[in-house]
Amino acid sequence: MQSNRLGWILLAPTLVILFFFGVVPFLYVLWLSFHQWNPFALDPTIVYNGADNFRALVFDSGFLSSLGVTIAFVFFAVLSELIIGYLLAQAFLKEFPGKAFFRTIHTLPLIMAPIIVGSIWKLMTTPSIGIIPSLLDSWFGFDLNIGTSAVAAFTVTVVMDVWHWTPLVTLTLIAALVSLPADPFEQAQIDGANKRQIFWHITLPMIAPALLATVFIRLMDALRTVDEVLMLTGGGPGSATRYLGVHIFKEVFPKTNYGYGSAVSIIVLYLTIVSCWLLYVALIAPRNKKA
Amino acid sequence: MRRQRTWLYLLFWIVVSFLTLFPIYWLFVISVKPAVELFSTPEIILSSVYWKNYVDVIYDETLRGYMVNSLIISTGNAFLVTTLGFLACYALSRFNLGGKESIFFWTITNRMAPPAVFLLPLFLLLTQVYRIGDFTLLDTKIGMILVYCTFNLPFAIWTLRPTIDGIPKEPRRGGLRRRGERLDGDHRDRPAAGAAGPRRDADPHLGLRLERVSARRDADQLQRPHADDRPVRIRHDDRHRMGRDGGDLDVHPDPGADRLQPGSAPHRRRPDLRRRERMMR
Repeated sequence: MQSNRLGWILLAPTLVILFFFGVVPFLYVLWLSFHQWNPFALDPTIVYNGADNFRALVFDSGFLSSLGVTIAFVFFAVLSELIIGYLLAQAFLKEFPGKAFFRTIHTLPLIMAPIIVGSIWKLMTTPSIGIIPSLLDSWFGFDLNIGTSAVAAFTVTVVMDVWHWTPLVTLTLIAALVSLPADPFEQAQIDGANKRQIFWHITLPMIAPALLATVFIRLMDALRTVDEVLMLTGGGPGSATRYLGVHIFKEVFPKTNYGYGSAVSIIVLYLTIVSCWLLYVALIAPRNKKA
Repeated sequence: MRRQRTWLYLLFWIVVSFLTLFPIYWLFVISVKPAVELFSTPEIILSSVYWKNYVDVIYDETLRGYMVNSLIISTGNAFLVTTLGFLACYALSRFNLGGKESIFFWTITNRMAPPAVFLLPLFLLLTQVYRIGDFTLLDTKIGMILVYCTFNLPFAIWTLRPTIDGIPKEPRRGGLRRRGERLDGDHRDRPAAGAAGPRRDADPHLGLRLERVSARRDADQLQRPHADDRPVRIRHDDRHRMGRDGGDLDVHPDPGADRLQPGSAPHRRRPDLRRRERMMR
């Protein structure tokens, strides 16, 4: 066994960078969340106000509704990404001409910056410029207007997220499916299992670790989506797509309410860490220990 | 039937690719329209192409400066993140560091932070706290690269670690062995019978890798066909229902062995006979 000192030396640069650019700002935000501070107000001093920010948060209907729509957004987006991603990964396992070419095309959305994705979808769905409202109107007589309809705006943000992130799910699941051994599937077929039984009792349990790691990363990123949605709908109409990231952004930048924004961030961070940690401890860590 | 399936998959992927590419195509359509035409009825097919937008972008000095900035920051960040991420993963994977699983989870919590609210603390830290004399990290490229590390380093560590965990360590004991083969008495890591998991004993080197084998295992290796293999005659040397090596032919391990004739396949031979033969030579 090599000495552990070398291990710590190798890990040190990472820990130092994460400490100075991750932990210190976090501590600052934590400290700020117990203060009232609006640097552009009449009185720009930082005033300690105990847990007032957190108390206000519980009764803030804006925050609560934004929490609700965020959970709905994460649920629909991540679930659709998993289902579509799995089906596409299965389709990629078959042999057909031009497979590598199609895989490259399918990966293209992943390399785009979120702000660009947001502007593309804005160009596609804004009435009068966008092609989607015009086609829907001429084919079905359906009026899609993300500026006025809450449901339409919500749906378009979900579709945009699915378009952007399904390739990530597909790529991870292809890697997981390819590494599965053939024996259990052959045995199940010999035993007369049908496709549905094979999926539920063999495929799903065997790809569960990879599936969960993907859910984990997607959940985390979907909870903190800002730029795409801000670009596409700006959180509107009303507060229909005012997800937590957008809510914090609007609290901190236009309103310059730093203390309150910090408190919301701390709560969001806490919720994210707790849900991810539960997922990690229950489902992913045991596998790492075994390996 | 099989041909039809292939066409079906091809068709399916063409449709999926169309859906994937359409938003990008639409971005292009908008990019080659003059501003006046933007608000006319949208058409899928391009009727005329207006390249002036691209010319403007290419000849825009300021924009070129921004592009160089982006290139330097993203390349520098990718380089730094890959290097540090690899070192960190190596440490987490190969060393028995105290609390390393907690450190591993802690790294990813840095990525979960809502970015909007962390901009202000970072700004204040870069301008006022992290300074050496007159030098501050604000408005420097290295400052941006380091800030991006906070979000990208955890991602790199989480995606690299399974790969580094998968690279086999050197054998625990002296001697080379073929992949998947175990030394006598080494029962660790052996998967339970019927346990599901990737096949561990597959030999990617097809037996071509160097190996040093113990004398004990040599006996097994003798079963392989050998250059001076000759069929062993059993039936015709048999006088006392006993083989040449003194083994009882009635309990021969291979039930078909007593039908062996001179010139029959060498791999049906008994390995123990071969060994005796060689020792006598």
